[in-house]
Amino acid sequence: MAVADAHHRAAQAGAGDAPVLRVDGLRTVFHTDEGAVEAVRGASFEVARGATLGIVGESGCGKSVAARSILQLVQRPGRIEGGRILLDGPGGPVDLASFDPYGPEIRAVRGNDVAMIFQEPMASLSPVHTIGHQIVEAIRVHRDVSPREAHARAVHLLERVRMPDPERRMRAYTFELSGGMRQRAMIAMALACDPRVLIADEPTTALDVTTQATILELLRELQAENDMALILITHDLGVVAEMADEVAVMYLGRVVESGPVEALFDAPHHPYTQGLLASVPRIDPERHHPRRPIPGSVPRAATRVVGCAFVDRCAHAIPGRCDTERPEPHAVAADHAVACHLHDGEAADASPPDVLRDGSMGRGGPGATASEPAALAERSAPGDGSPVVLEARDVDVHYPVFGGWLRRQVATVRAVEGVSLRLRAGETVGLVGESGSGKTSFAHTLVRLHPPTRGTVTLHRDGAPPLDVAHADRSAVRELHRSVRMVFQDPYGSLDPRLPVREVIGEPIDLLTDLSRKERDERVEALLETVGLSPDLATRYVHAFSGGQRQRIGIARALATEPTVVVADEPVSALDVSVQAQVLDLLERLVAERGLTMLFVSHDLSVVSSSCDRVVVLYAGEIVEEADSVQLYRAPKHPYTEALLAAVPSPSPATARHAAAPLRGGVPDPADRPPGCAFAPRCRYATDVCRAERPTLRDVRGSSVACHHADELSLRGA
Amino acid sequence: MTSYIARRLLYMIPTLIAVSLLAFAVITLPPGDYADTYVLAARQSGQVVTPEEEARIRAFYKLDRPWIAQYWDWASGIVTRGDFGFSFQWDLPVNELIWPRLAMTFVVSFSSLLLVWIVAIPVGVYSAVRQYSLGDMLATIFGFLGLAIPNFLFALVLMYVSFRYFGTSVGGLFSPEYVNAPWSLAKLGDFLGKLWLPMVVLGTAGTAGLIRVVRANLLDELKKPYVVTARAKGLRERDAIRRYPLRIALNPFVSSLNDVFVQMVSGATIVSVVLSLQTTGPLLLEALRAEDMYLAGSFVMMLSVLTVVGTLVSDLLLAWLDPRIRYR
Repeated sequence: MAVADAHHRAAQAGAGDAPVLRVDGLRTVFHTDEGAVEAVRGASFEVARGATLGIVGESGCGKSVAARSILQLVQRPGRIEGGRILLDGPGGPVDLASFDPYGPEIRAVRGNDVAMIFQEPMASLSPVHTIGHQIVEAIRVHRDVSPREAHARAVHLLERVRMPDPERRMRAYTFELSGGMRQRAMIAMALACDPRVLIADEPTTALDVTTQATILELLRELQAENDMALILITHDLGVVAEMADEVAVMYLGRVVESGPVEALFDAPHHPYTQGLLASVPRIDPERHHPRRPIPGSVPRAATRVVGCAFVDRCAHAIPGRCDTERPEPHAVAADHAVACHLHDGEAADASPPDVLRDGSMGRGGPGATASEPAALAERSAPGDGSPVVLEARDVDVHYPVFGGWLRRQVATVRAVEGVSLRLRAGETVGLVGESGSGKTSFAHTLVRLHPPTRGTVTLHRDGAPPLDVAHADRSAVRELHRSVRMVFQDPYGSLDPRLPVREVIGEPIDLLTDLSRKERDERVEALLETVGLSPDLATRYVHAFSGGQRQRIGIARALATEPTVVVADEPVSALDVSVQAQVLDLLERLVAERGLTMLFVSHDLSVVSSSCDRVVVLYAGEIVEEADSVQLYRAPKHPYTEALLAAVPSPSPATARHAAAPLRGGVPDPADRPPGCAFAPRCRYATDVCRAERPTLRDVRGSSVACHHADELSLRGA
Repeated sequence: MTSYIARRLLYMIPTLIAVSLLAFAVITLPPGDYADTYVLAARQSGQVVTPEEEARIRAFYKLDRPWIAQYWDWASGIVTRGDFGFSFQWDLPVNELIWPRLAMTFVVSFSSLLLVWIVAIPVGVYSAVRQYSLGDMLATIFGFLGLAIPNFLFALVLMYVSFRYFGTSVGGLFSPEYVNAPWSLAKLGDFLGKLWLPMVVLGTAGTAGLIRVVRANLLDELKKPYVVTARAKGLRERDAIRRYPLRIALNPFVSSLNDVFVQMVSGATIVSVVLSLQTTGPLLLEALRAEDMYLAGSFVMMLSVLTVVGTLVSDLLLAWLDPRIRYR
């Protein structure tokens, strides 16, 4: 109901209240050696008391710079060169842009009237100070209170952000907290002086979906309690649908569409907004809705733009107009403005082209043709008849914990416990769970990055004896690494910055096959083309590529030895949603074309929904549910699966606001798991038997489930 | 934490035993011993030394026993009585030779170290915060010059300049009239008047190096998101930098402190020779040349102890500064 309140107030606020913060024609320029780079090119937006403004756009659209400009936090060589930032005050609005960025006036606003939270709470909090110290400091910068009073207030703030055991957490360092708790600490710090405006820059992008849901809920509640305006910056329209009252869509430093959230989702006018909407991952195990990613990527911030900045990626561009004349914002409805030539002048009354239905988004580009996913949908799911390629049996992965005087083993982290999994030729299996569920440990065991503590992993091959992964000798390991390849999560950290792309992709070929240098280079070029990159780029270094392009390179490297199995560990979670869609399409196409078997590891059920034939849900190192995709999404049998599904933000404001209560708490400490069902402490259906007895996997109406109550429960699917 | 320190102290014992064995073995390794050196010197001055006399000298200094027995005498003397043995060359107990020298070395090195820190840290911070400004450029030029000029050459130039243009002899740490005088206010004044030269000579390279280290570390840290957070709180720029990035940028500096202890004792040998400072460096050099084995061995032992203790101290400091290390 807190949500409804905020919503209601926002509706009232929109009716006549003066905005608490109004940004008008903001221009932020970075003066670099290569010339002036205009990161924000005349952006205007406003937010009313108690309301939420969502600012959306892909990476590189200037959202973060715009947000930082509000508090003049843009670093040299960046500078605000135009526009006004009007903050409502007791004596009328003041223009923050007119203040000296190092002067006392702007400092009096920072953290006091306007506070900010950031994307990476780990990096944004000091690693060498306790969170209590940092919150107390934030209070005492602006409030003349004693250290004791500040401490009491800090504890109170931690209580308000629902930090468990706040008094003790005051003395905790960031690395002792989970991601969600860190972000709570960050929020507590931002609330130190009861700001009127809170700017949240991608506050949940670095978090698991379940944690994201709890943090978003917390932000909504705090906002309602404090009557605080919230500016939420995100690339994810699902988050916007859940949170925002008003939305501003930014593209290359400018707001291209703005309006109330319902209007924007029901009738998106700008082709860019439509493209973003089409990119949101939806739960679609039946593959009814082919993804339509926006082709290409955001131009570099240094690009000079004559007409519309989106023209190169737009399917509806009007030649001779969109590339020569800059579109200005036009009202298409009350409070709903669009900067697009399709909607100004005589064409203004034309109804928006509905890309969500007619599939006309995009004109080619890598993996962008709408026919591909459709073709995929018809692909017959490999049945039980296909041969097993990779098989894990009762795999345990334990890590010893050393401590005490003589560094003896004092505990065991049970990362994976008794997991059995069969990958059949040609199928894609999703492996899903929160951080700490053991999914990465298990994936690493499959490719022998570390050995299983117990159990076996076997690779089956045509016309050759099965290969025992854990005990393979040197030549067998070569064979294994040739047949089973990995795609890694972080496209920045997993590619060597000192090697040209040719070497990055070619390295496994050199190490594991007998191809000549010439054959190798030919294969590298073919691979680049396969993943949608130009073969000319083979001589470039990794830093020249965007995140999405890097992940394509990572995929090309995984395919270099023509493997039969690909293990993709969170391959898209570091990417923007629009780029996610491109990369997912690419992966699906490759699996279909090359008959690959894929294990797709993710924390987000929506991401894997349309790619996978079968999904395995992992919790605290154990499989809790395994079923065919459609079955798992539409009729989950385990309460944990239901909770994961509920955590996925829905890309529609109408349904998003009625989401179930998010899953609280975290995965239990793998060195000290509770007796009985590991999920029981967080489960709303848990009974005494759950807390006492450990459930085992059994068949329940076509799914394999480890839950005592799977027979009685009727859980909500997507 | 206590258990950690206790464990580290325990580890020191085998380390030091091994080092002392090694040091003693290495010193006795070259052919010949102090008896040879003594006989050679006597012959050169025209004396006749018979083989019997030579054997008596050798027996007197117990050089005829196996080296492991000599080691045992020496090592057990240190452990039980704090007795580091006898210097053949000086005809004095090692203890009497070494401690005054060590104290003097400590004063010289520590004062130059202090100079390094007082100058280098603020300049390094300025250099990083105002990257590519005129001040940064000047600090950079000074840094490269300071690193490039050999210390002994710098010492010679300074000595020449102060003698030629100011008419003062700046060698040594005391004017001749005070060398053997008891400590007094006048002697202290004389000492301080002499101290500046080794301070500057020994400090220049260190200052130059540390400016670069502080600047590079701080530049890395200034880009970190937590600095933006600090500014977003409304902190003054100065406070934001001092409390967060600077604090973290000093970590690598602290972890290199263990080196400093050793440098303090052994690093300045050549400069000490040039400036004829009564520090440990020249004494060690002389002891090694004369195969004055107990003196040399004791020095090596001291250096090892300082290295091990220095490493422990810098690790403890680091753990105190950085909780990420403390909780590992």
